[in-house]
Amino acid sequence: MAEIDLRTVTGGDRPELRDVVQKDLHEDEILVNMGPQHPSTHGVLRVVLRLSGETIVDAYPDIGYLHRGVEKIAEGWTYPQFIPMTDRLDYVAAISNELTYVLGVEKLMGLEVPPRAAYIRVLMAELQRVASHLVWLGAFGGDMGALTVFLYCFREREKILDLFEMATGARLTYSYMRIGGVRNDLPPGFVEKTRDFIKLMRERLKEYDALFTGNRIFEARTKGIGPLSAEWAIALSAAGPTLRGSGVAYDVRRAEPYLVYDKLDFEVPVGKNGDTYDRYICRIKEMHESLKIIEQCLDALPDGEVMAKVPKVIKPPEGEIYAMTEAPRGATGVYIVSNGTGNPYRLHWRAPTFANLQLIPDTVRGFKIADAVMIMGSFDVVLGEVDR
Amino acid sequence: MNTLEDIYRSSVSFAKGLGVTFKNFLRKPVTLQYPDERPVLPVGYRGIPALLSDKETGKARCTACGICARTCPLGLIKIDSVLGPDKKRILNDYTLEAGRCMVCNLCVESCPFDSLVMANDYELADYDPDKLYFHKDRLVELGRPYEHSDPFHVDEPKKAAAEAKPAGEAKPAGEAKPGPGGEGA
Repeated sequence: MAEIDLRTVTGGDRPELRDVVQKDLHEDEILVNMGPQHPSTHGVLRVVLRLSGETIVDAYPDIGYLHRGVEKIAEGWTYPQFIPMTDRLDYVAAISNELTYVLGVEKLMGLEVPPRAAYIRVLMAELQRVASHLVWLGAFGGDMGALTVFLYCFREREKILDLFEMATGARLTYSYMRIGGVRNDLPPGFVEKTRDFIKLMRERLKEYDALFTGNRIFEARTKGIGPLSAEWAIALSAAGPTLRGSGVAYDVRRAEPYLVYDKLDFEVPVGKNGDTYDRYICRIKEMHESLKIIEQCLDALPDGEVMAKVPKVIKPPEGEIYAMTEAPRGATGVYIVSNGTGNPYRLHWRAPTFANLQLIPDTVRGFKIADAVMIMGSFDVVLGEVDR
Repeated sequence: MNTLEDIYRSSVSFAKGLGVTFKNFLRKPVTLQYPDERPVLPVGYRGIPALLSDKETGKARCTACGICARTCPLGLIKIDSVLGPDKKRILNDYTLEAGRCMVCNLCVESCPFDSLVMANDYELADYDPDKLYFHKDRLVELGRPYEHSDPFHVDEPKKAAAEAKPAGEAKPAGEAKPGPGGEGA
């Protein structure tokens, strides 16, 4: 009869994972499963922690619990049919995914979107960024035990969802971007309502600031926790606020401007130490910048069509392209190979959180379990995008 | 000294945080008591695709061309039709598998005859899975309150322009061009 080791948790696991996590397990160490059903992993992320007491010796993320084969599905669907599916990748920021995908197809076809459509797209993408960061901030506070901010954040996010509902007819999976423009023009009253929201949001951001920034407990829980050096962040192709928190001022909106971002005035906030606190500061500042961009878009919104002239059946010419946008979680990219038919020959999705997820083992090593929750929270992992 | 400063800083930060909490304590609750209170749905809310019907005859406008069925990413639309005596298709039944529909609006956009619409209804759950196959009668009933597939009537000025053009009137077309988008700006 095989001896059962009570310090391990990997009974029915596949050998690749089981052998790695159990290798050289010291007699003082135990393995603990965090997830896949753990409230602080924000989805179905499983991390096997190797613990010595309460200190993390090593961590092994295990993904794939939400795998739906989206990239394969794309091969069987036509180009427009795949748009609603992109909503379901990073479901907290659906518009940004749609934008990435339609930009890719447009690049492949050489399409130019009308200026009004371009502004509407940027407007929507930035609203989505604020909404996504609010979800993150709420969940981050929740991870720490500060549930108050969770409720406040979701209250404000509701206002953004109302705006989205008004313009797109849906609250989460918008299906709003179309190849060549956007589905419909902004409804009457949208601009005024958005301006009201910006005013309100600026006030509320001050409140979040008062709750968190400078708070003694918050600083103790975040400052110096999970430091990530700029070199390491670049080496593991981290993206978004995780990368910028480490002091690398890389933002796709600035580095490779798409749509009208080159005409807009905004800053790219960067951190210094690359710890959890800096990533938090980056996201808060980004929300301010996004509100600034939204305001500029509303001011500059030109009149005109919102859809370019697009053939009824979309058949991009043969070729392959890579398009990238700055989603709330970082540089999202789509790689499309076309063989001249109505379906993509191959589609690959570059998920920023997939890259950020790799940083977990290196950043949590040496910290306590409670810190690991904060560190993983600060990467803002969305498993819909990681597992695809 | 350092400890004193620390205590001072901590107390100030807590007071600030509690101030925010107190401010929110005095605000009105935003919760909607759902089954008793209903949300006000915006124009263009996407609930479920439904069939538009002719206001005079009450029959579905659908011509059974099948474009929506081909556009649906999940292939949830089944059209049952027969070829009529005048070589026009007659719609027998139109089935939508509503339980799997992801309400992406692609069918509504693809319809060249303006006979599909996104209905606002959202409480469509049922105990019997078979009842989630919506047939023609139910879809027509759901689409009864709507007249136009485009909730914002964005297409109307364009259509008016297209109709005006053959008559040789270039000016009304030019006026209609900015469209309702101008109102929003």
